[in-house]
Amino acid sequence: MKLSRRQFIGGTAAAAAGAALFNFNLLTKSVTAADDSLEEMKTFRNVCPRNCYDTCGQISYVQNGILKKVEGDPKHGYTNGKLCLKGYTYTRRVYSPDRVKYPMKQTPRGSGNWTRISWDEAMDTIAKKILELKSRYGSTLPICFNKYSGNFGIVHYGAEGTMSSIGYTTRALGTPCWPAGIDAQTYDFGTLYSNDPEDMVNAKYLILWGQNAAWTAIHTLPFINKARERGAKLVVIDPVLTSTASKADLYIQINSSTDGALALGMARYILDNNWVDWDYARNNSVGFDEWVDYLKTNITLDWASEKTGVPQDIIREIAREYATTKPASMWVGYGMQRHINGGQNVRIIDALGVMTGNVGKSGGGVNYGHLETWGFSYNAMVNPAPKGSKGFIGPDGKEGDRNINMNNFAHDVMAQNDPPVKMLWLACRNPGSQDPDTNAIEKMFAAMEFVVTVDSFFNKTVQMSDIVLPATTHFEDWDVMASYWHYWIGINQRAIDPLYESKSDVEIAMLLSEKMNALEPGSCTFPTSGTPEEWAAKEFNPGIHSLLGISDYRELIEGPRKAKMTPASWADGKFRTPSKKIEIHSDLAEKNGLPALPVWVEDMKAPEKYPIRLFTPHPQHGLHSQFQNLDWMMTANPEPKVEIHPVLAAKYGISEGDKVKIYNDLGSIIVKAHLTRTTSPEVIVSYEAWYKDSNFNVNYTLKATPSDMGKQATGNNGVAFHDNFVTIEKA
Amino acid sequence: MVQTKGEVFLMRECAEQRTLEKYQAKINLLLALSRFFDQGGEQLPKTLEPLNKAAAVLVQSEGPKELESAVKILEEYLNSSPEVYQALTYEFNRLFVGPAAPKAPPYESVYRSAEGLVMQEQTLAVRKMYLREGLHSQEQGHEPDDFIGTELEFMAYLLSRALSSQQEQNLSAAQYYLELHREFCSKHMEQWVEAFAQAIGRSTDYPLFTALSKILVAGTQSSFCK
Ligand code: SF4
Repeated sequence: MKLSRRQFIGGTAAAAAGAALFNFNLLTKSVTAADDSLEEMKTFRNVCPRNCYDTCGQISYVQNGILKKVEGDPKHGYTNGKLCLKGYTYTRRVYSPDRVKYPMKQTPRGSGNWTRISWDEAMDTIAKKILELKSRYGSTLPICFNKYSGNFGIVHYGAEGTMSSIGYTTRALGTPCWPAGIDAQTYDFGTLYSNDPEDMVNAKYLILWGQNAAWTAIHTLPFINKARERGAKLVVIDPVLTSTASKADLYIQINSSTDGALALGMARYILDNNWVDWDYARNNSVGFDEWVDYLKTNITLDWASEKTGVPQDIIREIAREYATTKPASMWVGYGMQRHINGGQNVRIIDALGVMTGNVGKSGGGVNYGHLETWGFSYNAMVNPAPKGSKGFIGPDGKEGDRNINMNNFAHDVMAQNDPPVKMLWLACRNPGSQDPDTNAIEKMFAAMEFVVTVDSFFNKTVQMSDIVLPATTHFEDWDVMASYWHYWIGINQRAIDPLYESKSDVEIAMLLSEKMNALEPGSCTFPTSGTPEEWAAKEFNPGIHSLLGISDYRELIEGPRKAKMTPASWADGKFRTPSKKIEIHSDLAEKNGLPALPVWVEDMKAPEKYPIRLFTPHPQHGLHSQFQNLDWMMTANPEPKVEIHPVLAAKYGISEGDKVKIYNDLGSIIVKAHLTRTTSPEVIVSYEAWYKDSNFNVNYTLKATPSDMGKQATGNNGVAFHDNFVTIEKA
Repeated sequence: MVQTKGEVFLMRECAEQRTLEKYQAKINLLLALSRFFDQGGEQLPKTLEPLNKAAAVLVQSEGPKELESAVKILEEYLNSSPEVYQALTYEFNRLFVGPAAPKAPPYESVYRSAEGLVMQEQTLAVRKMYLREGLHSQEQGHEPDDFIGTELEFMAYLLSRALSSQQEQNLSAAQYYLELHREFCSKHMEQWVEAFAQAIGRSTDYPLFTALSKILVAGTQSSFCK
C-alpha cells in the first residue's frame, strides 16, 4: 500500500521519504526466496602462480561464494596435496582489508593524497595520456612497460598484449632472477632443461649448490628424503648454513662466488683418479679434452681449497663420492649465479656433470630449471600494432619495441631521449622494492609524467604511482600455469567473484581498448570481448594437448596433468647447441666475449672501504615483495633483521638486537642485528622483503652490477645481487 | 535497554507527531550516515550537509546531549573551501578506502572475526539477516555484505518498515520490524561500531572524522525512544 507523503508522515515537513518510499542504495530486493541454509561447499582447481619452483596445485573450498580455505591438490603428483607456509595464507591475502580495492588516483604522485575514481575515469585518463604522448612524440615509445613475476599465469601475458596493442613501446627486457644460469646451460646444452624433480628419488648422491629448498622449493624435499631413505647422501654447498643445509649429511660453507673453483678442484681430483666417464663425455660433447688440458695445467687442489675455503680432504671426499656413486644429481640454485662470475660457475658445474656421465640420466642431471612445458599460444600477448604505428629501428633494421635493460631499469629509462620515456605501466612487478639501487628508482619514478601500476597491495611502487588499478588474485581469475621446475600443468578456475572492483590484466586491456578506440578509432587492437574462461581456453593448442594427453582444457578440471616427457632431460642425447652436442667449448660464448671453456673467472673482491658482503637471499615468509605484508607473516616475522657472525659483530661493537646501519656509496639501511654462526664473518645476511608499513628495502645499497651472462637467451645479463659490498656500524 | 514490547507500547502511547518525528529523524540519520560512507570521500560536499541536518534534528529532539558538540563540528565544515574538502577526501580514503591499508576498514568482520579479515562468519550472518527481509547487497560477492553503509541502510529500512506499519495500524508488523532492528543492532552493529569508532579516533587528526565517529555510535544505538 502506498501512502501519500502527507498521510504517511502526518505532515511533518522535516521528515524525508518513509518506508513505503524507501530508496535502496546498497541493498536490493532478492528475486529468489530467502534461503538461510548454508550452501554446499564447492571446490575449484587453482594453481599458485607465484615465482616459485613449486607452482602448487591447489584446491579452493568455496561456500556461499566465500573462499573458506585453500589446500594442496592431492592429484598433483609433485606438490602432493600440500602447500607451503605462504600457500596456506592465501585466504588472508584474498580477504585482507589491506587490498587495493578500487582504481585510485594520487595527486601529486608520492603525496599520499588519493582519490577514488571509476574504472571509466581511470581508463579515460590513461587512454588520453597515451594518445597525447603518441601525438606529441609521433609514437608510443615514450610509454615504458615493465612486468615480471608477480603472477606467472599464462593469461597474464595479456599485460604485454596491452602494450603490443597500442603500438610499439619501450619494454623492460630480461629477467632479474636466473639469466646467468640460463645462458650457462644455453651455451652448454642449448637450453635449460632439468630432470623431473620427482626423479630425484632415483639419485644415489645429491649435491645442492646454493639451493635452499626448505624455504623456496619445499615440495622437492620429500623426493630428496625418499632418495636418502634409499641410501643417498645429501650434500649442501652454500655460503650460509640454511635451513636446507642444516638437514644435509654434509654441509660445506663455501666462500661466496667460488662454486666454480670448488667444481674445478673436484674435476681435477676426478681426473687424477680417472673416475671420468670418457665415453659419455667424448661421445656427447665438443671440447672436452681441451678442458681436461686446462684442468691439468691450471687447477690444483691447493688452489681450489685456498679459493673456496673448503679443506682439501672435503674436496676429495665429495669429488670421489660424486664421481663414483651413480647416478648423482646436482641441483644448481639461482642464488649462486647472482655474481659477476655466476654464469661461468654454472658452466663449470655443468662440465662436472658431463665429465662424470651424470647428464641425461635418471637420478642424475645438472638441474637448474626448464621451460619445456610452456608452449602455450600466448594468445593474449600477441596483438598487432595498430596501423601506422611508429617503432624503434633495432640494430637488425627491423621496426619494433624499444627494449631496455630490466636489470638496470632506472638508468636505462632515464637514458632514453629519442624519444624520452614519459610514462610507466607496471604489472606483476614492484621495482620500488625489487630493483637494484632504490634511490635511483625513486628518482626515475619522480622524473616521469605518468605512472600506472596494477597491483593488489599498496607497495612501494604503488606509492610512487599516479594511478593504481586493483588486480584480482588468482582465485578470482581463469588461467593456466606451468612450472619452471616440475613437469605438471594445471588449470586455474575462477573460484570466487573478483573482490571490490578488481580486474585481471586482460579485463583491464579490454577496457582500455574500448576507451582508446572510442577516443581515437583504430588506436588499439586488443579485443574487447571474451569471458575470463574463454581467454584461458585460447591459450591451449595441439602441442599442449598432446604434451598432456588431453583434447580439451576442461579435462584439467579433473586434475592437473604431467607432461609426457622422459624423467631424465637430455636422455636422447639431442642437445640444442649449434653443434648438437654438449659444448664444453662454446664458440657462441666466445663470440659473446666470454671464455669458450668452463674455466675459472675471478670473483668480485670487496673494496677496502666496504669489506663486508651483504647477502639478500629469498626469505622464508614471503616471495620477493609478496606475502610478508600479510598479518600472519607480520606476526611470525614482525621485522627485518641482519644476520651477523658474532666475530664480525664484536669487531664493530654490535650486540644482539642492536640497530645496525648498513651502508655504502649508494645508500643505507638500518636494521636490527641478529648474531648467528650460520653465516661466515665475511658475509652478513638480510632477507629481501616488503614489510607492511615499512620502507625497509635491502636494495638501497645494491648497485645494478650485471652478472656475467643472460644476454644470449633472455636479452640482458642478470644482476649480481650477491656481489654487494657494504660496511656496518651501530646505528 | 527498553524492551521491544515496551518500545512498541511507548510508540503507541506517544503516537504523536513528536515520536514519529523522532523515528523519522533516526531513519534519516542512518541513511545520511550510510550515504556518507557509501558515496565516499569524493562526495563529502554532497553528503555532509544531509548528515549534519539529520544529526541536528536528532539532537534537538532529545538526542544525546554529548552529540551537540559533534554536530557543531560537522556544521563548521559545511562551508569548507574546495581545498579543505579535498583534504577531507584524502583523509576519508586514508581512513576507509585505501589504496594504502585503510586505518579503519569499514567492515564488521574485520573487527569481530578472530581472523580480522573481510568475508568472515559475521559477513555471512549479516547476509542472512538481509535475506530474511528478502534483501541482499547489490554488490554481494564483490563488496563485503557487512560494509558499514549497507548495515546502516538495512537498519534504516527496518525502522522505516516499523514506522509505516505503525502508520498502517499494523502493530504486529511494527513490532516485528522493531524486534528485527533490535536484533540486528545487538547482534551486529553494536558489536563493532565502538571498535570502528575507536579506530577512526585513533587514526585521524581531523575533528570532522572524530565527530562523525561519535555521531555514528550514538546514532546506531538500538534504544532511543526514552
Ligand atoms: S609459494 Fe610456492 S610452495 Fe608455496 S603454495 Fe605457492 S607454489 Fe606452492
